[in-house]
Amino acid sequence: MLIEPQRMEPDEILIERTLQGELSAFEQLVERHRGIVYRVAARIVGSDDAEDVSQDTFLRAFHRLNQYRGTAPFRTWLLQITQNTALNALAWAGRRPTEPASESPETADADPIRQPAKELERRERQQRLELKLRALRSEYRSLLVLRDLEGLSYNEIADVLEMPLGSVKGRLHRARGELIELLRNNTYDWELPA
Amino acid sequence: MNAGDSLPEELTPAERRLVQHLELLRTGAPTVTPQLVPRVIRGVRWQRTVRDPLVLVGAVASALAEGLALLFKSPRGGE
Repeated sequence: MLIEPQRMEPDEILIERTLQGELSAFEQLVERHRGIVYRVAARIVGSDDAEDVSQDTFLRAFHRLNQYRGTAPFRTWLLQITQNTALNALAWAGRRPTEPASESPETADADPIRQPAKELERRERQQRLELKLRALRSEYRSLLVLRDLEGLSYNEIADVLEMPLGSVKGRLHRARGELIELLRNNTYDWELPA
Repeated sequence: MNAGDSLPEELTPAERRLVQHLELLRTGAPTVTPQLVPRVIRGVRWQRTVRDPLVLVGAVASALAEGLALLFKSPRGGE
């Protein structure tokens, strides 16, 4: 559903209205942030469990909404919950995600014979890359997802992952280095210069 | 833009190439189903219905337990 710009209320107003018992305000918050919450969850736990993790994230957020202090944007606070919920889900399941998260339901069922070779190759590269990303430790994976896939600022990442700004930059560099090494060891040529 | 982001990021050639590769994942990002929003709202409604009474029961049980513990607690050092 499209909401006209003049009717787009800031998150803070919607939070206030939710706290006053207006569930439709919370519905708007979920609608507004569901995309990024789902994508981050899917990158951490895999697409099979991403919807459950997203739902848990929003339920936790709803029950803790009175603890939101507004010192950071609501999205940051929400992503912090997403990150913790996803890591808990992984720990509870005692496993690392295995299946790629890039498959949307429509493309996953597509007949490979009908797809042009270029598209097939792109899909294969995407899946290989996804698997290598999953092979990273969760902290590095989160850093790459938040920075290189979601484009968050260093400051926002520092808030989400609850680490100093300097650590974000240093660990992001190491995370990229580790992923580069994983890709270099892959049989597929990723053309990564030394 | 935050202060920490004001300077352009210095990437090595390999990192630059990696970021280009990661673009593949950005374009093929997993998409959420439209059912998520109603699922969340149903969950909130259901939890709101059962949560408050459960919290109340929990608080009463906890107070009772504390009261009993105080009643039957043997005095310290008293033998």
